[in-house]
Amino acid sequence: MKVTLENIDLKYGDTYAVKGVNAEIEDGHSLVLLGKSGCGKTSTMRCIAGLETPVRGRITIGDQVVFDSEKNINIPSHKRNVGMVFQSYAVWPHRTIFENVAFPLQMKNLGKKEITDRVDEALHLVGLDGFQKRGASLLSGGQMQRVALARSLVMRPSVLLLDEPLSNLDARLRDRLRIELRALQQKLNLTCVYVTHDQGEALALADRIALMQNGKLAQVGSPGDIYENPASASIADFLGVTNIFPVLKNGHPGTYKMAEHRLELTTVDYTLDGDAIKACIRPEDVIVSGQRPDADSNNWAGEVSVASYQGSNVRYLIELDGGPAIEALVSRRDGPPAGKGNRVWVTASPSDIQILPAEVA
Amino acid sequence: MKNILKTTTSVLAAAALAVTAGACSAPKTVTLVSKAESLSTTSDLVIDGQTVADSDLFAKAKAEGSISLYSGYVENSEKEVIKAFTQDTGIKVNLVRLVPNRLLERVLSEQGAKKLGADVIRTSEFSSVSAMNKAGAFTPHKVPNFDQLDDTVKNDGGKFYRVFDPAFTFAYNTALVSEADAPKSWQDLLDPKWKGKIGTTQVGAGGSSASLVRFQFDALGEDYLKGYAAQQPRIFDSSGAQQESLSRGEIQVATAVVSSVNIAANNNAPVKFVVPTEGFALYDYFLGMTPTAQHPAAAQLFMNWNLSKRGSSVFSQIGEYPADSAAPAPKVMDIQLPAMNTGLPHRGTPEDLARRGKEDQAIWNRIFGYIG
Amino acid sequence: MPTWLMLALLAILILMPVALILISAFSSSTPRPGSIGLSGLTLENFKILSSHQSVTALTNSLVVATSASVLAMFIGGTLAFLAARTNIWGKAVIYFIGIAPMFLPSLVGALAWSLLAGPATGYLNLLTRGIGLGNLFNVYTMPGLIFVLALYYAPYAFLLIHGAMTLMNPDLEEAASVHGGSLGKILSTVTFPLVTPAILGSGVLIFALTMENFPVAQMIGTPGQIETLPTFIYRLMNSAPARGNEAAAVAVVLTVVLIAVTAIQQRVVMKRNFTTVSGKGMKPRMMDIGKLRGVGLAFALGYFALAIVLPVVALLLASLQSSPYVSNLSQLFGEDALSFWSLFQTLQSATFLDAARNSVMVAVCVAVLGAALAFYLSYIVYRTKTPGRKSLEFVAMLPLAIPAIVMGLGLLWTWLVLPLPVYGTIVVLIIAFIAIYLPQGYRGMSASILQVDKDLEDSAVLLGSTRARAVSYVTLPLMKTGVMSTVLLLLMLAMRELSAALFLFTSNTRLLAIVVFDNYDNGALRSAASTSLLYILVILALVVLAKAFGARATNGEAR
Repeated sequence: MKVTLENIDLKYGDTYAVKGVNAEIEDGHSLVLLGKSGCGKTSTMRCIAGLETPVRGRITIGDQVVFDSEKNINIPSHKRNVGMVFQSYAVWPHRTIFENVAFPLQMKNLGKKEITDRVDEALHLVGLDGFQKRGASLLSGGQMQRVALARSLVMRPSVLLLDEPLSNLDARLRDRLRIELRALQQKLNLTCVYVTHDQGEALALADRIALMQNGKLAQVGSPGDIYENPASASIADFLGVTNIFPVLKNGHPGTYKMAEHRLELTTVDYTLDGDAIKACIRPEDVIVSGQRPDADSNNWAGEVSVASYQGSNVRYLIELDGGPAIEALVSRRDGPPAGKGNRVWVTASPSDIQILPAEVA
Repeated sequence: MKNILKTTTSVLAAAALAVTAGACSAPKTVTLVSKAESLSTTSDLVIDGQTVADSDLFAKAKAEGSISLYSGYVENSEKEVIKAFTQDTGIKVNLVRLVPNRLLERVLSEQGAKKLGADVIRTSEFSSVSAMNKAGAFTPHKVPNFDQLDDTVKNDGGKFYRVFDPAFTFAYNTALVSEADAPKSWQDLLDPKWKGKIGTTQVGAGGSSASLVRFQFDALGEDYLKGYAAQQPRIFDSSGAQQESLSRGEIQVATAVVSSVNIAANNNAPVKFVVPTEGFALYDYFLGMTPTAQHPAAAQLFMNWNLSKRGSSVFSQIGEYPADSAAPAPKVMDIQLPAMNTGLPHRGTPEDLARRGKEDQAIWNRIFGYIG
Repeated sequence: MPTWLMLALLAILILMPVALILISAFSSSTPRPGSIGLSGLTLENFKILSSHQSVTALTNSLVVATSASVLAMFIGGTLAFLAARTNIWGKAVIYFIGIAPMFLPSLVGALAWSLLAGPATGYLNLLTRGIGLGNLFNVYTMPGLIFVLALYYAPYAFLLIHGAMTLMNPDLEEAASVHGGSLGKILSTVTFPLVTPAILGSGVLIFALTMENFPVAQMIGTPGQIETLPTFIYRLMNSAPARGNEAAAVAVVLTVVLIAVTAIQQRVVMKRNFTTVSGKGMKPRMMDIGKLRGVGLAFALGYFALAIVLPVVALLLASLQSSPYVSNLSQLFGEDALSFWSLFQTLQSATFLDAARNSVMVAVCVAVLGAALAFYLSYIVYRTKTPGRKSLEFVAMLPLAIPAIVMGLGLLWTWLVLPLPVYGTIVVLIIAFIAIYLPQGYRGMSASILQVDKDLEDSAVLLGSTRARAVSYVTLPLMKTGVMSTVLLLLMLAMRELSAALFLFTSNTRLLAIVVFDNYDNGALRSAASTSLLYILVILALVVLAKAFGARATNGEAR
């Protein structure tokens, strides 16, 4: 069901944990709240669940207003029909898997037969057929995750909330579950809200991403949007852009000058001015070559200080002559890797250099 | 760990059993209070030839069936009294026993909250009983022999009565001190041979102590107490604890209440009290009936019984001086205590105690170097 | 129940007694129904503080508490080290020895020691006299008082230090060992510094406990004319007429000392909670102490003999003796010298049976209701964001700093003044014990509630259950061990308490502890001894029963 947040303010003591958040999640879509720890993303999610009470604002799930500070509406959590998978999974260790998953149905006073059928169906959906009788304390992390998911799915929630659902799993399992989760969400046409601090996870799971900083929404958009056009250097930084340099306009149209070095950058975009602007270059957009390339701009010599082989890629850290260190991610196919101490040339296309404000205004 | 516990307890139990196998018989005791000589309960209640209640009161009292007694009297002694009363009348007594000043506190509090739960109250010390009376805890009741009782017995028109007086003297441990060596007078206690072997209760230990100290100041003088203090006596907080210490032989001679010695001896303790040549102290116990008594007839009956000949006899058998001057002085442990008119029993008057109490306490504490 | 209602409850349970003590310390009349107010304000009562008596009592209290806690820490710490960290034989036995005296109320221990080492006729004196050494012992002295207190408070040091020593991460010591530290060096540079907070914490705790201890001071100290603050308060209250206002003034002083000490303890214990690494499958290293094993074992057995065996034997003898007077030990083995008669008499007597019933009833009610209140309180503090929850916590922990005998006094006045008919009933004892042991209950419950992830409960709520249902379905079952341990702890504490009940009981609401004390006070030593023995058995039975219900006897953290 469609979920709407309007002007949500949440306070802990005197400080705002969430300030003026507006968001809309279409029915069957997924929204990822992305941000660093303490940015207010989990608090926002807990407001939807009713585990936190905002001081201001309105929350609507489907046609039902579940919270409205002005009209004094605050539907308690257990009547919101909101599913939630906790970061810790919160699978009850003293109960069997069946008891865990059947719980929401028992709360709805459903018949025994229906409960059994629906639990079986939910467990099948998450790939845990035949686990009904097991004690929950004996499960692996991935299995717990699935139980927690089944327990929320079985109640057919209006919206499913997932708090850092993959963060406690090892890397390979995480990759697999990421895809499974996305497939499941699309198959069941579930409205989902995720919370994560991992940009890769966010990009993979989201229909829309809401990027949060200091309790506020910094940028909302599709994964492509956000990735291609971050609204600020700090967002770019958060999304994995490692080459971020403070720059100044230097008089020549089309070029910026590095604030702390004498190197110049040629860019396509030439509108921003001021002392809080930064140039951002993704490591994968940095081209490394053994000879001086033909390009007439953004053409710098340097020396490899670190070369880290990563299988399909090599990651370099290159000290530019008279400039900063720059990181480059080079595909294995682009020739044999250079070693530490090698002299190299580094270029970047003007269209790959984004000039961004340091922070969202 | 449970096993260790079990083993330890069972080993201990087994050892104890082995030592004492078969030794479960009761030690020899004698009956403290004998039955009434004659008792008629058919219409009027007549005990030992004296009418304690007419048929009307007795019938009502029997219908009520029980009374609630708040008492500051020594628990074991009060239980003997109750046993005799119930034997005579068939009326049960629910006892709430507290040390006198806690009893005062409780009575004043309950009376203040209009929730006094007692039908009758027994306590020592004139100041306490007066405070209760002032708070309205008593209602007048004239016992059948009201007119025969003298004015030191009946107070405020029958609101409360002095019922008996325990005798506070000294006693010795018969296992450690032979009859021949035993002290005969208070002065004997100053003999150097008793140094470090005697005891006394501290002056603030209750009305009994205050009365004894008053007597000692009066009859023996301040110098006597200084001499007593120089004997390095062990000072006790309660006469009960002192009595036990004497029975066990931790000390050989100590101040003691006759009735307590009587009860201890009855429980095989090797103790005997002395009637000193200089006399000894008496202190008062009072009894009154409450205006809110739930069992008024039974309460009246209890009052009558306490002040009757039978009551006097019961107290006297325990070792107390009955308040009724017509009753004979007690004879316990084959020792006849001197009659009131011999001048040996010194009963401090309430006025005297009230006037001198505070000063006595201060002087006593100073003499004995006691923290009080 | 909203927070303000809880605050009101705590106000009646704890704040009002404290306030009444304060008021009467500054007033010329003691609180009674119809006569409570701020009229007659005076500083007169505090004059007593400058008296020779109070200065002596305060000095004695400080000396006794300091020495007793040092000795108790030495005993408890040594046993804890032996049991937790060495290769001594029979560790389970050492552990048992370490905690066993907990089950013997200090009141009973004091009674037993006055039987054992009373001047002239103590059993030990009879023994030494029998072999021609004369009377060697007199427990009614300052060293005697310190010794008896240390015996019965050593288990507190044992528990705290043992806990810290077993939970210590062995990596820390192994690291020292890898870097070339010798055994002695490791002990002095790693092990002991790591348990220092526990040692200090237990030291302060024992100081506070022995400082406010009434029964031992009254039974051992008073006969030797050694006055301490608690006995001084008791005597002021029991003098005729009662000097309640002055007692309150002395109580204020005792409380101030204890609050200062408790404040230190809280800080130390807090620190301990953060530094001790909680153990998950860690096995602490066992040190080879070689020949010292024999010495260690002898030490432990010696302690056991002094704290448990001798006292129990003494109580047994005293309750079997047919005459209270014994001149030599051989007399005890004469015909008819010992008889179970008195023990059976006691067992059948209405006084004992009523007191046993009262004690068990009070202890069970205190354990159950106290645990429930403590749970609710911990829940509010740790699971809600209610404003004012920190002040709730503060009030709940307050009785820790207030001596039980003082709380008893305050509670007496409170329930005399309040228009509820509970004074003189068993209910007032239950209320009093719940109030004085709220800090212990609260600590146990909050430690336990903190171990259960809040998400577990929230998830049940999101899955459609009410909050209450979620608590009973998820939180409480997961806290089972902690809850049961808290219940057992409260049960034990309530079973043993004397001081707080002193001013609250009446002859028909006596507890076992009161009967023992009353018997002693009235000079009925034989019944005191036999009641004590049966008292210990009742406690053991309760512990075994509670353990059958799944409680752990030993997470016992007492005052």
